[in-house]
Amino acid sequence: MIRVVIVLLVLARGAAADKSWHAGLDLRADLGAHPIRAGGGLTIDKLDTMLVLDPMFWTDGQHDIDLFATYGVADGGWGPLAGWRTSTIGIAGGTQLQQKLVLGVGATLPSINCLRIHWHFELATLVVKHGGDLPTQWISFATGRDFIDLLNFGMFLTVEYARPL
Amino acid sequence: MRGLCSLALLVACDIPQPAVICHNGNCVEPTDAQADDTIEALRASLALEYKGRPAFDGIELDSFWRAEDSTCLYAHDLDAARATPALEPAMELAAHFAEPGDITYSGGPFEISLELKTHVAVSHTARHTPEQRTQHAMCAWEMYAVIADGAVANNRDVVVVFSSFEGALLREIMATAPFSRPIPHQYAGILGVPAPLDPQSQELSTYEGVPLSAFEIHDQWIHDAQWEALLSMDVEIVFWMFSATAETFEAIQQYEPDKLVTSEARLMRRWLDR
Repeated sequence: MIRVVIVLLVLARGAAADKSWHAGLDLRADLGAHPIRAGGGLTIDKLDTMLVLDPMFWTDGQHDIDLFATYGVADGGWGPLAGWRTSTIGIAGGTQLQQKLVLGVGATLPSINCLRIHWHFELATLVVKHGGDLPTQWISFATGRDFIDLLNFGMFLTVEYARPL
Repeated sequence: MRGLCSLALLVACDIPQPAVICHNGNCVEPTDAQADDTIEALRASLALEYKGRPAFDGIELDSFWRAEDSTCLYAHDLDAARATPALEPAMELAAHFAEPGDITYSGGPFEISLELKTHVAVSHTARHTPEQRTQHAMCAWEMYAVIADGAVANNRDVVVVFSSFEGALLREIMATAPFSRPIPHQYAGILGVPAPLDPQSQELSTYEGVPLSAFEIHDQWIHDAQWEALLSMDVEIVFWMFSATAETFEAIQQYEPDKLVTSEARLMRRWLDR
């Protein structure tokens, strides 16, 4: 995923690019991650990247880190979203890691001066969970029971301060 | 709850510890749905330990009425060939009760969630006829009798919870109850993935007349209206799942269920014990 983001960034740099940075909050009401996280990233033309960290890890021993990018393909900044989420689940005597592929769409909502707001809809697919001295489990599509728990839809907003570079 | 407890550093805080129930008689990691409701998985699950104690507080057994040959099976469905008679896991449990040592992690009663599957053929929409419902209910009571004999003979504290996605099957259990019931039994409804994704879940009203003590729901398919209805029914809330994700753990913290039916007993136990 990091490689994809780097390639997209390099491609985006080829054009005379509008660049900006942004930082702020990642907010959600569903159970996909903690409700309030913080992050930031770079926007280069239509490509928007973001790294999200999880300051609420202290509440329950769980940390969700996201790296994702959206690429605006329509007016209003609508475009596909692709990324990766690593959830660190604290368990007695260790930590289990859950790796998720995140795909979806994103759109820009009206900005308020330097405050930019983006809406995102995601399908988070748990690809593999590992660690904690427990056997590794990869997703399987053999029967519905194998993957029904591993696919989850979610929505989130990013509310950030943004400035041109 | 844990967040609030973290804030209240100097205040004693009682974090709920739900009971852990082994899903489909198969809760050895990694989750393997193909091994659900097999004797091999049941034996491996019963042997699980955590901190020198049994890893869970109960186990779920599925009973399946196969209409084509009027056979009661230990099976989740007929998607794969299955031929294990429904009485076999009951005999395994009875033998387990005869072994030395505790049989639950908590030290409380061992719960057997005896689920009556709602379909009777490969198709998940092929439902029981009234006669098949009676035969399936009688089969469930035979399983109960084997389990009860094992529990009484070994002085074990065991409760059987008859559960089903279909209220009519539980009413048939009530109608066919034997005179002698040496161990306690209860009733539980089940909700899962809603139609049209899965045809099993039905309206709560279909359980009318059943004295439910618990309702099992899937942790990732909770509707607000259903949730409020369940709270108003004053039943124990049970979350069921196959593979626990971050969403599962968030849901447990948010809704604080009484029991967890999991395919990963050690993971769940260690998460609760974190």
